Amino acid sequence: MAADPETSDAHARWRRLNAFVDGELDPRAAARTARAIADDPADARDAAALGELKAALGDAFADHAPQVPPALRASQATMQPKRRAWRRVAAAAVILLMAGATVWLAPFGGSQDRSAPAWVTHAVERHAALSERPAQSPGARLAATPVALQGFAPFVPDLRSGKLTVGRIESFTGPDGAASLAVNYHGTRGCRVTLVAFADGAAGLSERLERLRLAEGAPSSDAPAAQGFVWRVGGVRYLLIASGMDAGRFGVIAETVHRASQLHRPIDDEGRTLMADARANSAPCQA
Amino acid sequence: MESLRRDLQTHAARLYGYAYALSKNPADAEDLVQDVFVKAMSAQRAPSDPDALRAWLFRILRNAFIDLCRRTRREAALDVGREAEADEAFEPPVGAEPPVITQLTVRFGLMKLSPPHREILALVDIAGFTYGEAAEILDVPTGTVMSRLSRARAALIDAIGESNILPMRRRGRTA
Repeated sequence: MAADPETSDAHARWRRLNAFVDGELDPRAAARTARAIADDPADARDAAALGELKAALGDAFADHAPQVPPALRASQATMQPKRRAWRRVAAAAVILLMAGATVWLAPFGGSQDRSAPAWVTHAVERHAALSERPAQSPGARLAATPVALQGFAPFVPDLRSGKLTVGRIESFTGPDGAASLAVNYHGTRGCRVTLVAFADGAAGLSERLERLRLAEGAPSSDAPAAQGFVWRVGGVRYLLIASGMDAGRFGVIAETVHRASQLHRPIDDEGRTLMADARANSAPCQA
Repeated sequence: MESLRRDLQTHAARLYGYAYALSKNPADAEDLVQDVFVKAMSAQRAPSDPDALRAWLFRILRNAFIDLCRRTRREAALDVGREAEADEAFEPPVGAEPPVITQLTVRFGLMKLSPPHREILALVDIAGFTYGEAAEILDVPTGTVMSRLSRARAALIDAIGESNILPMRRRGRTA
């Protein structure tokens, strides 16, 4: 029996999303799917559901570990701890190399903060306003998987491994009328980080992570210096902003969030470990 | 020896999850995992590569389950017939509101699935095998793993949705 084309497309899409969530697509197919997820709320919703399903199954029996009996006979040791350590070192090296390549790039044709587009200025102002407000009580809850918001499906990462919890989530209309989302994270040592997503196209941005020069306030201002990174995934623009944070730590967070947003998947074990290490090795934020 | 014991303990929860998915019975699952521990610790040689060790342990468990079914004259039913592999056998949950997905609902949902679907979900999502590794354990092509898994997840979403737990809207949040 010949398959109905519509049904076949639905099956192919479903298989592709499954393979994407499992990390089984080749890089080009994964990038195409990530862009489709960024652009299509239906894909984002289904990918999020599959991610939740996978995560819930992965943890479903985590508390049921039978105890290994006392020794019978010796066998060989394994190399798992060494391998894990090597992977962490390799991942850190890659991030350092990437950070070195992107330091102080100006993504808007070499422009400085004074000529930054309106959406950047808008995002920085929103970061400042949100950072002054206390966290919502009992705290905005955030699923470990992407959220879909009124047809707009930006990637919202869980940064708790870096001791950053969601203080506030705010949806708003951007300066050019597009759906936008700002997620303000609170640290335990005075850090404030905001991820702002705009749904209105590319604005000339590449998909690479680029460091953004931001205004440091008037010379007399006591406000801590702000740092920013921008990038694009499909038709969604992202801007990550922090105030007073150690530049190395912020770079690790930005690299990790950028990578996860491209895949539209929760931050993986290595990313979480890197963010935790970066926090442990950094000074408190200058609030 | 201590190293192997540590490795076994590391894999214990996932082995139990796989055993539970196969047997649907906590007591059998516990026995199967203990069987794996004893066989692994009494083996002349265990694989030294971590990935090979993990695959070896799960193969031991699978064989132990098949032996258990033979002893108790139960049908293991781990093989999927050609009919069940056809696309017509399932509908992707396109356009549906996702059900409430928690550890509890997926465990209940998992138990409603067919043995092959429980097994593929256990291998990939609980044990964490890649498609290629799961294909080797099951002795099927990788494409079969991919299609079987996508059907199994669709079936699991259906099974969770059919439970008496009502969906809860958690989107469209504004501070």
